[in-house]
Amino acid sequence: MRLLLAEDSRRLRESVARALRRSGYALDTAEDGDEALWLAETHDYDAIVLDIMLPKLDGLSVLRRLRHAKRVSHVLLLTARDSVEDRVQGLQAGADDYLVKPFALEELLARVQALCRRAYGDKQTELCIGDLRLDTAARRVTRAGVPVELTPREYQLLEYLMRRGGEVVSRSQIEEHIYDDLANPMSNVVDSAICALRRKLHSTGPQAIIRTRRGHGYVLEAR
Amino acid sequence: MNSIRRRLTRRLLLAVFLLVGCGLAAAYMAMRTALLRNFDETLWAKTQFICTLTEVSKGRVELDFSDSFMRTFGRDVGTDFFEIWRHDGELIMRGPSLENYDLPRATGSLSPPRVLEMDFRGRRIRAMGVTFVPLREENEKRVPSGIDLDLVVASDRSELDRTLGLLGWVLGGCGGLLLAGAGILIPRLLKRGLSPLDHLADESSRMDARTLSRRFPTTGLPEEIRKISEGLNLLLDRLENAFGRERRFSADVAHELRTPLAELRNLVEVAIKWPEERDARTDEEILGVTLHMEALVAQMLALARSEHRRLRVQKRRTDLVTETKAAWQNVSAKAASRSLTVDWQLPSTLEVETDPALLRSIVDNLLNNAVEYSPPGSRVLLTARAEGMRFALSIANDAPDFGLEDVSRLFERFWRKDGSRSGGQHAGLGLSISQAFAEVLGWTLEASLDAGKHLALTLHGSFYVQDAVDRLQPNAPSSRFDPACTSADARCETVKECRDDRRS
Repeated sequence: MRLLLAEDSRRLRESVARALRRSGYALDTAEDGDEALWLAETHDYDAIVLDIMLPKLDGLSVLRRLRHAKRVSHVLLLTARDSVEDRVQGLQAGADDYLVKPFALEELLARVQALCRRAYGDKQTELCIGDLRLDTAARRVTRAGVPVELTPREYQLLEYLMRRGGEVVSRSQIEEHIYDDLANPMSNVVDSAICALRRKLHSTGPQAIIRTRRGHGYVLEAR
Repeated sequence: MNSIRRRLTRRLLLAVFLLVGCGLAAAYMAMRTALLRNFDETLWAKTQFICTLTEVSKGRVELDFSDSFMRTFGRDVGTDFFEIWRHDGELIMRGPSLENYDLPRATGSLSPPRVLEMDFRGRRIRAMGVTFVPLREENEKRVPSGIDLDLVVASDRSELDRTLGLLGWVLGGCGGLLLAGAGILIPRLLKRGLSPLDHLADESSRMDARTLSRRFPTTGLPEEIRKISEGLNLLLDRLENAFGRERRFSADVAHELRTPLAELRNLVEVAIKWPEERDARTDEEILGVTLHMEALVAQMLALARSEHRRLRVQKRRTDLVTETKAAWQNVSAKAASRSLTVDWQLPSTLEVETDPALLRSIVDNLLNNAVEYSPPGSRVLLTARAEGMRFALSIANDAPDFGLEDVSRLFERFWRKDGSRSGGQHAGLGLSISQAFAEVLGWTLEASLDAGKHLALTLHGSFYVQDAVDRLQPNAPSSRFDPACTSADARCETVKECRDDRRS
């Protein structure tokens, strides 16, 4: 899942970014409203964590412009403003959720996860394809009842493929949703990650579950 | 209840009662005096008439009494009386209406005649007594006879008393009606006249902290109430602004503390959740957040202390120019990094009597602001001049993004042109503190923006001010303040703490 974090406070931006990356999210960061708007308009983020009081262009203006441009990324507003009027104003501007500073890190991660689920129209916390199960709440993967140990990035890749189960997912889509702008677009990180994921999944299950559609991408499906 | 309306009603009724009472009494007395004068003139005419008719003929005193002319002295009518005596007391004649009764013998000269009030046979009569000399005929001439006679003429005053009584009743009735009318009308007129005041009281009773945006009406009101309404509206303006400032201040304090708290909490939570992520930089960041919050609290304390006049001021002769140049040394590196040029327009020396620590704090803040917010490559102008017994120190820089509305908010606590509080390096308290310090020193700090978008912050003051400490509470706890504490990296209150902190 790929996120955008727009926060002007350097320390907060860096610590939240560290937490989100450690949770397996691909993350881009912006320190002002202009940069946040540019990134949000040029990338298809699964969720955006947006501070309201940003320099150059405030968060609500960014949000309104995104909604005006028909961008449907789910937005979590992050702000020090806690009055009812502020919350109503933020939600009316098109936000999907609202979190007041200071906040618990676990709450932020849970809310971001919920927004990512909603991005795929899925409210279930457990994804199931064939004998492969993924519990998004516990962040646990099992195949045929046997736990599969995955890195955060592999977990995010598997979750993305499972949420789009049965659909062909192109490399560029995977790059867009799983990798941030720090990844080298010319590298074969997607192929390597898919290869590593297949290896771990096949070690506990006899059948290949991630297939390659040559020239199109990958599809995760049970036979 | 002590109400203006009731008090006015009582006083107006009392005033009307006194005025009407006195007026009617005066009218009664005037009428009575006129009637009595008229009565006495008539009585006097009758007296003269009898004197004229009395003459001496052949040594005898005779009165040519005629019923036709003097019917009122007759038995039938009997409202007038007269009796004549010789001066030695011998009765000469009495009027028929007296029958056998005597009038009291009291006489005086003809001018003025003596007037008596008396009861006569159950009637009130008014009498006039004179002593006169009747005439006698001699050689067809009327000459004084040489006989002194005493004459008392009286008239029944029953008619006069009835007239006076009627007059009294009429005036009393009119007075009663007037007072009753006043008793009914005055309260109603007062109620109606004071209704705008009642309305104003109702309006004001509905005012509270949530309705400070409402204003009292000022049109269609009496002049006096309109002035009160306008005065109250001005008061409401000030109250609304003050409440707005307080609300903004509370919200700003919360906001200023929320962001560093969020930073702190996240840093710690990440370090707990992923211990391997924790390194020396994490600790430095946590310390940085803590120091920032400490500086914020120190600034707020400094502001509160200066606003409550709890700073200890120690004045001595200080050279403004030397202090300004020394303060510039602290920001010169940053100014150079931003390619700023400084234009000095300072005299060689400008001595003032002030607290050097507070002065330095003010100048530091002003220079920091100028260097921080000037566009790169622009010019900072430092001017100092003497104006009689006063001086002005001005620090000006380009402010292309500034508007007049920004200038009016420049000294508001936590106000920043960029509302994002970007980076948390500036709390927006520096200028508020500088202004508060200037006031403690008896000076003023003003901001102005000219047409060329040059923002000037000017410190005005007297060279030797009557010690501002005089205006402080004499026994209030006070504290020294270190100028460094008002800068963005302020972190402590006393000089010693600051030095210790810097060493560490």
